[in-house]
Amino acid sequence: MKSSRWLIIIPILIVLFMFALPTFFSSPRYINLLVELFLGIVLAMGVYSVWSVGFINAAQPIFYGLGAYVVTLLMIRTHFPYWVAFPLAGVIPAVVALLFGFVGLKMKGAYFLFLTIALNGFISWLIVSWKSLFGGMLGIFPVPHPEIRIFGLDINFVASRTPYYYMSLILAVVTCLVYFKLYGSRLGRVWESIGKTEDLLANTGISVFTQKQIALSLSCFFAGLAGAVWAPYISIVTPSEFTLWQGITIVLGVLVGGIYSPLGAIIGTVFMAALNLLFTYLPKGTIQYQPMILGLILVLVLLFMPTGILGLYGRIKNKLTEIFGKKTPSAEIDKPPVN
Amino acid sequence: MALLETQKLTKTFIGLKAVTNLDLAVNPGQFLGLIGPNGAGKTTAFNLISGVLPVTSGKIIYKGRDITGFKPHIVARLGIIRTFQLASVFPDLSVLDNIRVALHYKSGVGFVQTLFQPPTMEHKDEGIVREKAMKLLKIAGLTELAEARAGNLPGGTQKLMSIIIALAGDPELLLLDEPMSGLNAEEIQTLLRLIGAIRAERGTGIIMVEHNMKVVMENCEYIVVINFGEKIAEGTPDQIANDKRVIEAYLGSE
Repeated sequence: MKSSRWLIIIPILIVLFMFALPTFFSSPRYINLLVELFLGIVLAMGVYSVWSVGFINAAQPIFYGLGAYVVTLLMIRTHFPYWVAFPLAGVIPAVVALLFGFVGLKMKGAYFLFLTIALNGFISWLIVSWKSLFGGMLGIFPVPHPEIRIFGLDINFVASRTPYYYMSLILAVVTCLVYFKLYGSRLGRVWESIGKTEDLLANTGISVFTQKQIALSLSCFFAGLAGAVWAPYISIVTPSEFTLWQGITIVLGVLVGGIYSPLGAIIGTVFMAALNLLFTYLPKGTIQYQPMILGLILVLVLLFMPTGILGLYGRIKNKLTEIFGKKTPSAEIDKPPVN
Repeated sequence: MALLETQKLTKTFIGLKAVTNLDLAVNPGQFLGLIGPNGAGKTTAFNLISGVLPVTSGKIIYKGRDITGFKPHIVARLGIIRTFQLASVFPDLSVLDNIRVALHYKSGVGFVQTLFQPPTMEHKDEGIVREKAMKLLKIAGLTELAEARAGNLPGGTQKLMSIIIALAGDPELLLLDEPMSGLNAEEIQTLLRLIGAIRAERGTGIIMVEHNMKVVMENCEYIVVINFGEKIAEGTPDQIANDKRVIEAYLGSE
């Protein structure tokens, strides 16, 4: 099929362009926005994945924050080199998620959401109160820069932000590859069926609870890694970086993008980032209206495009093929949202 | 030896005895009918055997092994597969994907293999699963609908699919929960032929809960009747048809 070839070519072109970007474009402001976008995509992919198995995780920034703290503390307290601390910054949030999952994933969807809000409150409180370890409200400053040597070549993380740009880009690409691979496979079909037809799935021999645990831990593993890129990048970790509001914004982005494909998570995150960029052009003093605008967008999305931007694209395409007489099955594209 | 045996199986919900001291026995290849008026506890019995509900007291013995209290996915792995009255297919997946998902556990490919196995292995695995799936679809005559979204299919076709999904797990004991409800006469014949083929080819034992008396009487070898959670009669279809207690349970006493 012709369209499936484009589905491979276009992402490759975008990624190549992103890799080439810093060589001819180095506005720190936009590089910064892109780093945030790439890490946001990593978080959104995880939120999408957990959503696909039937749970909304509003505490994704907490696992992101855990990763940031873990990498920082390992470098400062135990003097681990960055490349040792980096994988641990993924593993430890994943283990925390696993323990959390033993309680949370036994709940029904809505209760899980409330539990993630509680978890968010608990971890935030822990970080603020345990001053000797986490540094309280002020956080930890400065976070040491990584010292990396590849092929005898020192990468300078101090003088330029470009290495961080590449790290976040590579992390985003790897995350996307993993999730697209998963959701393109049979296991992806299994995950998408969890949360809607659990009894039937268990009846085929699949341990639904184990699959939920894997999905949650994997998402928190990547969130932790994202945090481990972020912390040295802005060279400070404070609890105020990892809030419930941020978690809700990620969930909102996934919803706006379309929650029946990992591509929706990417589109939604890009959309939200673009919106944030637009907000910065608004006159000063309008900042307090931003949540209102976001809320309005959510309401409009739920009302007029419950399948998100991706679903809207599908509907427009179907409308066009209807008009121009080419037949495509509409059921494939216009699926109802999960939950 | 019986394939499955329940001994004094009892389930009590708060203030309600759903199943009381139920003794059932199915042999390999046997077609057992489990009948009774609405609310008699038939589906509860299925939920107990398949591990969906915890047992209050009593034992479930499968192939000589006590499986009481096993989780549903473990029970399924051991070879006891059931169908459900409702929600028997994965509605958002295509017909083919439904069967692929049903075959997923048996394929032995888990999360780690999915991510890291080389493409050649992946093609091989996917090829085997697809071949098996298409074979099952062919048995049910659903080959042409392979790409259709399962939730859009008519009820009868979905029922047929749910049997195929159950078959994908290679059951040694098949629990069918009202498989005939909502089917027209022709579909009932298709399904009965399918059940006949399963028994002949695989020697699968079958317990069927069903309200269609004609189907039960003409096809089951042995029938157990329960009412208010208790077994009130058992025997061959002829014995059941003439049993006074059974007639009373269905029609009320004079």
